[in-house]
Amino acid sequence: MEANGVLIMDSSPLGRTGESTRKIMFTVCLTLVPALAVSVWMFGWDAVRVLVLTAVFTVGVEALIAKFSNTKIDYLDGSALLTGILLAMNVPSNAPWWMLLIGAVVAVVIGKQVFGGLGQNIFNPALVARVFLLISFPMQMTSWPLPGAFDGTTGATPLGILKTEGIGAIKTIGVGDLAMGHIGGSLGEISALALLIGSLYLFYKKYITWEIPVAFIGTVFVFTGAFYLINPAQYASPVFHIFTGGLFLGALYMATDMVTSPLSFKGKLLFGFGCGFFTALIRLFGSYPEGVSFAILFMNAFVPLLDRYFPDKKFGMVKNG
Amino acid sequence: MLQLRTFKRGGIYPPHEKLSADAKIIFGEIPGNLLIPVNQHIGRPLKITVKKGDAVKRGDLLAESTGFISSNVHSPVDGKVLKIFRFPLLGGLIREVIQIQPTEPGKSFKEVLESDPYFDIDIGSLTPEAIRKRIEEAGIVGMGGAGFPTHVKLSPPPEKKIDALIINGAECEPYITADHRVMVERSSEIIKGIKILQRLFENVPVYIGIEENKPDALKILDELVSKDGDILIVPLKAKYPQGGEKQLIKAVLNREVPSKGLPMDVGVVVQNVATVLAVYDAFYYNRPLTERVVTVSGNVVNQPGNILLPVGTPVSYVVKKFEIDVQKVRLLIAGGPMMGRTSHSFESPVTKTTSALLFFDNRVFAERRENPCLRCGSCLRVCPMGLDVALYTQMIKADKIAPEAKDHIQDCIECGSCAFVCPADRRLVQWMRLGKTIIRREN
Repeated sequence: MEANGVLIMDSSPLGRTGESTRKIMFTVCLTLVPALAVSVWMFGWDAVRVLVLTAVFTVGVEALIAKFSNTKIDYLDGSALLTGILLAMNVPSNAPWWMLLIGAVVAVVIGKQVFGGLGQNIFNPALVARVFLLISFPMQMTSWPLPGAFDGTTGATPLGILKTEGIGAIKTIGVGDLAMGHIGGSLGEISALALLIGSLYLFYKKYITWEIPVAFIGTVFVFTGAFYLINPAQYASPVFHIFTGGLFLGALYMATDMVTSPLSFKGKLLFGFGCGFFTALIRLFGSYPEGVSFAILFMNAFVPLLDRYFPDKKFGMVKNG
Repeated sequence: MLQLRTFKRGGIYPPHEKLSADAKIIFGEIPGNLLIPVNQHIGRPLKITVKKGDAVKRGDLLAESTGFISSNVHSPVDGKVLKIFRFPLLGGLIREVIQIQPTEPGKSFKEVLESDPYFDIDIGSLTPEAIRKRIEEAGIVGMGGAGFPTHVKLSPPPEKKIDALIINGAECEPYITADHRVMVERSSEIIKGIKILQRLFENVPVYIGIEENKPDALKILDELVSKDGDILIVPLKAKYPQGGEKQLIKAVLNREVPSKGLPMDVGVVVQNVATVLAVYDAFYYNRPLTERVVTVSGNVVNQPGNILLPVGTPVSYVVKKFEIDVQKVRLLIAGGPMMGRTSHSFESPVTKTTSALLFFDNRVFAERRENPCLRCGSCLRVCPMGLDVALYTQMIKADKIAPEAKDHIQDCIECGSCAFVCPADRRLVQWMRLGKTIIRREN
């Protein structure tokens, strides 16, 4: 008895759930749409320009590397696109095209491919690029177009105002403004609410879990809250702190990046705590107004250690009988 | 009904696809040719006791065990030894087989079974030693898939006090319904088989674990045992791998078999329902294990069913019997899709551990290519052993296995849940198997 063709030999299991790298990456991209919509509404065509340019640059750079690489790189798997979108959300809407190109090259080449490509990088590529740009071009990276101000006026972020002008200058900013995006900032900084809505689907799909965001935001809240209680005249309220800057973007989309976050329950909690701790430390005592990026990158370096020394309990790790 | 029990950690919910759940066990005919694999168990290889040209009777020994952890093989039919040679088995490995030419090919196998004399034995008169000896002689092995000699499993050292016997009727693999049909159609025989095993351990309670997706089996057995105080039916949640020995013990008794340990370390012996039926046959019909129920299913099988087949029946017999269009078949799986093995020959024979033969065209399972690990953590989440699969497989691939990972890697039960959910299509089970091999070589 002979089959028409050759029978397939494969190893178990033979079934699949149908999840794929592409599906995860594009799903994460799609959940960013509410936040992107808010930024387009606030910043107009400038936001679209930044988004499209950054996305084209990151995917383009990855495609170029794929062309000359000996290993097969799927530059359309959505990971480069996601890096591009996240980078776009970290820069001001008036960022010049060449800055975006430099950011894309740094993100894809230094942030990702030099480590061996997707899955191998230690640091979040978009954050590597953001910090690179922040240090290299401090002027462009800290003067933020104000939402709805289409005349080109720029200003500092609420955190920037807090850092340079003190607590009195932020008195007029309400929580509603912060949550809804009526504040100066990067594309992704301005609406905590839209980011949260988008991320709900990621929680539902279990692409991200609660440990890191909750530990991260919770730590910032507790840490800044403690200082607020000690001296409200000098320190801003914890509510102000959790809704400003890149905390929601960082906690929901950057710190939870699969590749650069720990795998175990305890590891995730510690990672989130570390991110929150260093964010608050930089915001309260550092020379930079914002510390989310630095905190996440710093904690990224600890991921292998957290994985190794705080693993989940295994089945059968019990006393005999 | 009791509340559904299950293991707590990990697990997945693949589609059940129990297409043959309502199909009664049918009996075929004696095939024109039987290829009986010499070694169908885990343990010491057998010594062949027949030679080319020998006439054999149904139940005659073909190959005998060479030690304690070893298990006899018998002829399921009257016939003549044609040849002893090497041939691809289900799964693709080329191993020694004994070819038997049956005296009466085409004879209904049901008639063959019915001509076996029935012995109305008195279980109470059997000593534990006699029971173990008979099970050993009959060549009974774990029929859930592993093929570990049953008499060994039933002989725990005296310091391991056994206080529970679990009968595994979970059948958590998709498609397979062989155990399900056996529980529905031969329930009273299973209970009698259990009574024999109960003689081995004084007054142990017996639990029959069955997944909720087999309500008829649950109902029939529950009615049968309602008079017995010491046999309990435990309905289980339909979650894969509920039938894994350690997961089953966790679900039924909430005991956790220690790492690298065995069920007897927590005072439990687990036996599959088909194995229990083989024990019944060995005592009441004096039959060695020479036939078993096999599920025939898959998307190119028009009428999926369950059939009692003599060990050694080539797949080609099943193909004809179920009128399967071979031109459509691209994938032949022995066992279920989660842990079964693919095969490349339609002449490979059914063994004592073949619970199913599944036939698919290439639409169902696409070819896959490994993509880079995203560290998404899905594999850790579904691993029923709680293993850090993503980390271990990277270590194994780099040939740098951390010392603390070694015990865990050896605890992998190869259920395939991790690879089932992996979005990067990584061959996680194969990497874990490689890891086990590396560690074994080191020791």
